[in-house]
Amino acid sequence: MKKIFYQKSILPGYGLSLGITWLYLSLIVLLPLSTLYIKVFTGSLDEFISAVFSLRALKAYEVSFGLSFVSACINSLFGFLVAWVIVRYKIPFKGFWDALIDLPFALPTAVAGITLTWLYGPQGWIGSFLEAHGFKVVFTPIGIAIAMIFVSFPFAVRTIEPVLKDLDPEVEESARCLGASRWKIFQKVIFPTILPSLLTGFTLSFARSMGEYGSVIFIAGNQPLKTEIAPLLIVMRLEEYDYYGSASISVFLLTVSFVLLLCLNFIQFWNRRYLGTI
Amino acid sequence: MSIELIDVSKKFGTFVAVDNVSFSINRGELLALLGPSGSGKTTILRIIAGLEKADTGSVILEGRDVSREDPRDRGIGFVFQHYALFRHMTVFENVAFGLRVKPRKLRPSEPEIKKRVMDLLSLVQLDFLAHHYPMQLSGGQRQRVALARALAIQPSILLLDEPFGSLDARVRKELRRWLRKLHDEIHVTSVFVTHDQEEALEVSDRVVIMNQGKIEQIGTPEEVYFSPQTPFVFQFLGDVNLFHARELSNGEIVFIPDESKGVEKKIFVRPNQISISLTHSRNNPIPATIQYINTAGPMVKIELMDKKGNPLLAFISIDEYHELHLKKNMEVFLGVKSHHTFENIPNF
Amino acid sequence: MKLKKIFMFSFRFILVFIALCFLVLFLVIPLFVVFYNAFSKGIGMYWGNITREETIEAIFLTLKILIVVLPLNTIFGIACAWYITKYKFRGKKLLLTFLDLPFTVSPVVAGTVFVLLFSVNGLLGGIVEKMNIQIIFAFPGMVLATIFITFPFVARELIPIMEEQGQEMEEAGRMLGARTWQILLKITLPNIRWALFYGMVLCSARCVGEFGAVSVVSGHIRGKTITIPLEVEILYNEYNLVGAFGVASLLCIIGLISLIFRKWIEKRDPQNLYRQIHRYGD
Repeated sequence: MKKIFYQKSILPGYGLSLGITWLYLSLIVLLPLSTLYIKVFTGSLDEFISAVFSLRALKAYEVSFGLSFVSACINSLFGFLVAWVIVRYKIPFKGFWDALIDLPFALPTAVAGITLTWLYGPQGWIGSFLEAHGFKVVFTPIGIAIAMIFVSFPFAVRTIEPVLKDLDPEVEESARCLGASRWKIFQKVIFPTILPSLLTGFTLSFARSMGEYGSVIFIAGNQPLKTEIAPLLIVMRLEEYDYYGSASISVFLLTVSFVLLLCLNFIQFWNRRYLGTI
Repeated sequence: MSIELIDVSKKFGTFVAVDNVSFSINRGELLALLGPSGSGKTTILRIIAGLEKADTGSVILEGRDVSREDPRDRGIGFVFQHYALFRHMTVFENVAFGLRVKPRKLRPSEPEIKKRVMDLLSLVQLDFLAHHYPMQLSGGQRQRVALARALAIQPSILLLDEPFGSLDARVRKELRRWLRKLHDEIHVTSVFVTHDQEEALEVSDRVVIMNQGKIEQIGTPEEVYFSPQTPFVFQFLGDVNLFHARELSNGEIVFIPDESKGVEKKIFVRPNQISISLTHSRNNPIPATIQYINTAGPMVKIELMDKKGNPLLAFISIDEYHELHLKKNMEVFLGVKSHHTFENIPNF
Repeated sequence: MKLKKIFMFSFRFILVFIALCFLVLFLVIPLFVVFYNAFSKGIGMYWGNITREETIEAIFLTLKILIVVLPLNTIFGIACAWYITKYKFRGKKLLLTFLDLPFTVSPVVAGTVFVLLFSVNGLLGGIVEKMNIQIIFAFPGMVLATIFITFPFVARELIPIMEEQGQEMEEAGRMLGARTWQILLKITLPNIRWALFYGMVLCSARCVGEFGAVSVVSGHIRGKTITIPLEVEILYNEYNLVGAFGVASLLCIIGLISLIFRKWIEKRDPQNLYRQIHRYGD
C-alpha cells in the first residue's frame, strides 16, 4: 500500500498543532542532541576512541551495563511476581500496594539515594545487621544494584500488569477444558502472551538503570575503576573541562539509549503481529 | 433541500472507497444507502456532510455547489453511528449545543433556547430525561438524543449513519417505525446508511444499493425487491437459489439439462418461489432430498439437496407443509414458480 | 485431591508472602526511613531545618522553574496529543518514539547536552556570549534541562485517552456549527480534564524532584542555583543528615500527593474510566 503523507482531516488545527509539536521538540530535544554528535565528529577518530574506550571508561561501562543487566533481571522476576499477585490473588490493602509500586517514580532520585545509603549503611537498620555478619553493601557494586533495582522497579510491574489484567479468562478456561494442567497453562498460554511485555519491562528497566545518576552516586562510593558508573564519569569529565571527553561518552550512552528504543519498537512490532495491524 | 452528487470519487491510500458515483435525492425524501460493510456508503454520507473531502466530483445542495464549503456552513444535521453525544454535558446541554455556539448575532436568547430544546425533547419523547447525562441513558434513548441534537439547528438535511446499528433487535424495530413517523411529521430531506436490507426496505422512500464503491441500483423498495437489476442486488435483498439450467432455442428453460441442447443459463430463484411436489411432473422436474425442516416462524423453511449435491432452500406455507406430510430425508420434486436471469454475470 | 488443594493454597501463600516482603523491603521501609530520620531530633529541629534560609531559597527557585516549565509542557502536551490522535500522517511512530526519549536517556546526558551547547566553543556559545546572557550555571539552563526531562509527561497522559475517545465528538461539534476554539474549549478539554490534570501533576512532581540533569547545569552556586534536591545533596555531603532528610521529606510529600491523586482520579472518574493504554509502561 502506498503511504500517504497526510490524510486530509476535517478537524481544524493541523498546522498549529504540528507547528508547536515539532518546534518544541526541535528546540528542546533534537537540536541539543544533534550538537552532541556534531561536537564529537569535529574531533579525530583516534581522539574519540581514546576518550570513549579509555580504561576508566571501559570499567565504568562494565559497572553500569553489568549491574543494569543484573537489576533488570531481578526486576523482571520480582516485577512479574508482584504483578501476578496483585492481579490474580485477593490480598489485603490491594489499593495501597498498587499505589506503592509507583513510589520510585514519585520519589526524587536524590531522596532515594540518601535513603538507601543510610538504610544499608553502618548506622542503618539493614546495613548494621548485614555488617555484623561481615557483609558490606554501601560503596560496593551490590549497593549500586540495589539503587538501580529501586528506581526501575515500577517499569517491570507496570508493563506486565495491564497484560495480565487483560488476559481473557476464556482462553485459560478453554485450555482447562482441553485438559491442560495449571503448569502447562502457564507455560503454553500465559507465558507466551506476557513475554513481549516482560521483555519491554526488562529493556526499560535496563535503560533506566543504565542512565540513573541521582540515587546511585550516594551509595556507590564512586571509586574510579571499581564503583564509578558511566553517567558519573561524564560529570567528572565536565568538571575537568574535558568537554570533548564528556561529549564522547555521552554520545556513546545516547547511542545505546537509541538502540534500546529501537529494541522497544521492535518488541512492540513483534507483539502486534497477533493483532493483524501493520 | 435536494442533494445531488456528480461523479464523486474517494480513495483511502489505494483503496477505492467511492468510485465515480452520481445520484440525486429529492426534497423531503427519506433515502436509504444500503450495502455491505466496505461498500462506501458511510463515506458517501460523510462526503455529503463535508466530514470527508471527495477526491473528485461535486456535491450540490439545492443547486449550490458546496464541495469546497466547510461542514459548518452546510446546514446539515448528522447523527453518528455511536451517537457521539458529549458525555460531559446533560441531555439538555447536548441538544442546546448547536444553538449556543452560534455567533452572538444569530444566537437565540436563553429562554428561547430553553423552549426550543424542550420542544425537541418532547418530540423525541425524552423531556423527562433533560437533566440526565448520556451515560445514564439506554441505547435507544441516546439515539433519540442524538437525533434531537441534530435537529436543533433546524437543518435542511438530516444524515444518519447506521442509526439503529448498535441497538438490540426489538428497540431497532420500534425506532424504525418511529423514525418513519417522525420523518412524515417534519419532512426534512433525510439520508440514512444501513447494512440491513429489511430496515432499508421498510423505512425509506427510495433505496440506493451499493457494492464496492459503486451503485448497483436505485429505486423504490418495491422496484429493487421485485425487479433487481444485478445478481448482487438480488442476493443482497434475500435468500437465493441458483440453478445452472439451459435455455433452448425456443426460449424454454430446462432445469434438468441435456448438455447437448441450448445454452447455459444461470437462474436465480427466491425460496418462496419454489414449489414442492411428491411426484415428478412437467412443473416439478427437479429431484431433491429434504435435509432439514424448520417450522418455527410464519413460513416453513426447508433445506434440500439436489442430485449434484447443491444446497437449496424453499419456503412454503404451513398448510402446504401439513398437506404434503414432508419428512426429513424424503425424496421430493421441485418446481420454479418464477425466476430471474441477468445478462453478463461476472463471477457469480 | 485434598492434598493438591493444600499444596495450591500454600503455593499461593508463599507467592504472596515473597511479593509483599519484596515490596516492604524495597518500598515501605525506605519511605519510612525518610520520615524517621527527618523527625529523629524532634519536631522543632525538623521545622528549623525546613525553614532555614537556604531551604526557603531552594524552594523558591524550584517553584520559579516549575512556573516556567509547567505551562510550556502543558501547551506542548495538548498540541502534541491533538496532532498525534486527530490526524493520520507519516512519521507518527517516530514522534511517539521521541516522546519516550526521557525514559531511556540518562538525565546526566540531558544536562551535558545543554552545557556543551552553550559552552564557550559550543554551537550557541558565541551568540549567547555576545548577547551577554548567562544560560549555563544559571536559571535558563536549569529550565531547559528540566524541560528536556519532563516534556512528554502531559502528552503521554493525554494520548491514550484521546485515542480511545476518537474524534466523533469533535466532528459532531463541527456539524453543529462550533468553531475551532469552541471545539477545543467546550468539547475536547472537558473530556480530557482529569488526564490533563494528572499529567500536570506528574510533570510538576518530576520537575520539582529532578536531580541529575539539573545538577549538571546548575554549577551548585549557593543561594543562586540550588533547587530542593540539590539542597538535599549539599546537606547530606555536609553530614547534616537530619537536615538532608528533613528537606527530603518535603519532596516525599509532593511525591505521595501525586500517588494519592492518581488513586483519587481512578475512583472519582469512572465515567472516563481512567484507563492507561501503557505504551511502554508508565
